[in-house]
Amino acid sequence: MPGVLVHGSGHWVAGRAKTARLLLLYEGIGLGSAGVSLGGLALTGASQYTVTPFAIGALGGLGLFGVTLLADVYGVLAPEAGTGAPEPEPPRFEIRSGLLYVYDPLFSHEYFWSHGFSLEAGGLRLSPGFELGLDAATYRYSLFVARRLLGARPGRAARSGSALDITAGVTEQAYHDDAFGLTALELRLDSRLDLGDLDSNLAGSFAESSLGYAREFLRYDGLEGDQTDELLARLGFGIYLGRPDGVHGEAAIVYDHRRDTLAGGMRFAGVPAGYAGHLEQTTRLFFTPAFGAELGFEYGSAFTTGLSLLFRPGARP
Amino acid sequence: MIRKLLLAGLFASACLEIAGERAQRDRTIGKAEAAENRVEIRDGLGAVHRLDAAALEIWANAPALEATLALGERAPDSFRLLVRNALPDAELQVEDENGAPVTITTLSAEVATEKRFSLAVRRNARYSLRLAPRDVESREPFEFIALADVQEALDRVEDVFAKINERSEARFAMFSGDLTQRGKRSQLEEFQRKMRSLSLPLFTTLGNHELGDSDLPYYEYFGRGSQSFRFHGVRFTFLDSASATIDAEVYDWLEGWLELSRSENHLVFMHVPPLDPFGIRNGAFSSRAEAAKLLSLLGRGRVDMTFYGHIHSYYAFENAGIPAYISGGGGAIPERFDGIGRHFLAVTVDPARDGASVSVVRVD
Repeated sequence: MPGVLVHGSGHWVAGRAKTARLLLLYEGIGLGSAGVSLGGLALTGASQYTVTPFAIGALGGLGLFGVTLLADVYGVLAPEAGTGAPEPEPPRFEIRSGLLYVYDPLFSHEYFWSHGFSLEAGGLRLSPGFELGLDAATYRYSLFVARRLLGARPGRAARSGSALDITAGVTEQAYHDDAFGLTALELRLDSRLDLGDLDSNLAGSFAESSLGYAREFLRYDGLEGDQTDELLARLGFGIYLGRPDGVHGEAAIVYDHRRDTLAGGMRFAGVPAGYAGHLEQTTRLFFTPAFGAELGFEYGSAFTTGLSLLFRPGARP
Repeated sequence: MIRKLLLAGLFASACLEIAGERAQRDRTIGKAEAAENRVEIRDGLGAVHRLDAAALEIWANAPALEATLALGERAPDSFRLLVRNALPDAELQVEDENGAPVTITTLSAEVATEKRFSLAVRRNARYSLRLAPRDVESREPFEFIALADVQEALDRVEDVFAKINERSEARFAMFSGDLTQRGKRSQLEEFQRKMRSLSLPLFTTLGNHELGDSDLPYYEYFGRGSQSFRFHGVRFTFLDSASATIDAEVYDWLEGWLELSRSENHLVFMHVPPLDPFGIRNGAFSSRAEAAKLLSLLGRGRVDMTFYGHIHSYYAFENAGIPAYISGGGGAIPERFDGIGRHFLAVTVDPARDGASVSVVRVD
């Protein structure tokens, strides 16, 4: 229990005072940011004129609190060299194909074929993909274009997994059985911080965050459509599994604030209503340089789980 | 099988069907059995506060109530009926199982929205009751009040009620949830006590703040969260969106209500709106897909207007082409910098025309 409240206490007990102070400092920043922001939201009645910075501050603060907690646990339990290391450079081409199961009490769809690939070309990473309903007329198509601003790229290796990308994308969703569709245009900054860059006791773990904006267009068959906005924010913690010269991969748990996915946003018993996004847990493992698998879970207003095979054509040991 | 395993194993405490229990509670409202007597209010449009051998007390949550009352061996010759939160001009008609009228003595009531009667009844007999104003089936224009979100301002709600009483043409108020801060019995009782100063009845659904007490006493005091009734040829529907979603069973009910109202005005009320006019804030449904599903359904069902609470301000906009109003001005912490504050809406409906005219009435 003390470790849940005072992050870094695990490292303190293990005699790693520097790491303990670092985690405690970031926990304090997180709690301070969350406290000020939640107070601001309450005082302003979540005014439309001030809600954006307060929402970002609250999400960032709570996310930092979660990351420092998990990092403290990881640093104490992980072997000295960490649970693994990042790949020195991302693949130029990767294909993903699998099955996605969705349980949503309000929609009839359950099984989807999920397929996509990512390709690095001309300094840009293109990532088209789709989820096709196998038992209902629900379809999602997406295309994302990302430019890496910092970090390793194909042909430019780095020891650290830290990276910064700017990503633009469009997602088209059609729910034909319920006579509506949804298109989202988005722009966001995606970052990964290799926590080993901060402190060697945290080597093998990373924090992820994303911040952006989406404009959404809702269509209804035979009716006028609507437009709305969405704050895009992701915060998570992950660990590398294994080394790139053997079976390797990574696992991460992420809070994603968006509610326009198949998972939607979480619902809570009692007074809280409507403000939260969903949780994701993803594990990726490569058994050979070319072949791997990805297992994922999402929990929001729906529960999803997916298993995909990963293939990197041309990958060499 | 796969679904059951996944759900049981991984998310036993999950909240995917969070409003399901409330839909089940809805189905029980308006039914009671005690001292060999049995009552059932049609469509659950009222909550039974008391039923014993000699008396029945009902909290009305609609302008017109129909009920069946079956009396047992222990019923007295004179059976007492008390209906609270009724229209002041509502009249009672009672018939026995042969269609013969029952002698009714109207007793004096303490407030305008209370109706007290003594019925001359027989033991082991069955009666049909109907309490409604004479003009319930009229097609004349009428006014009603729309409001929401009193919450922590319960101690000064009298100001709002006094302002509502000034609208002498208004027939009733439609409240879109968050009567109280935590939905505790003491708070709900205080709200009903304060309602005694109102000159008209206030019909309501629940908001997320009514979920603060896990026993959900709201249902005992006010009745259903999702229900539908007609007045002057206009359909009024409450949907329970207090958990930022609507239960699957309520969607089934809604489809039936939409079917019933295709040729008449239909106004829909709920607490949490499907979409927040300021989407980044998302004081709205927890799933954008569900928001779109509901709005598509309402639009195709030719709903004329939607009214919401939850956001403590006033917004007039459209969703799926349907005029939409958020009025959360009952007194809860107001949205700052918008210059709105405490307010309610006065809505005039002409059943001969689609839609209605809406004006904002400021309290402060």
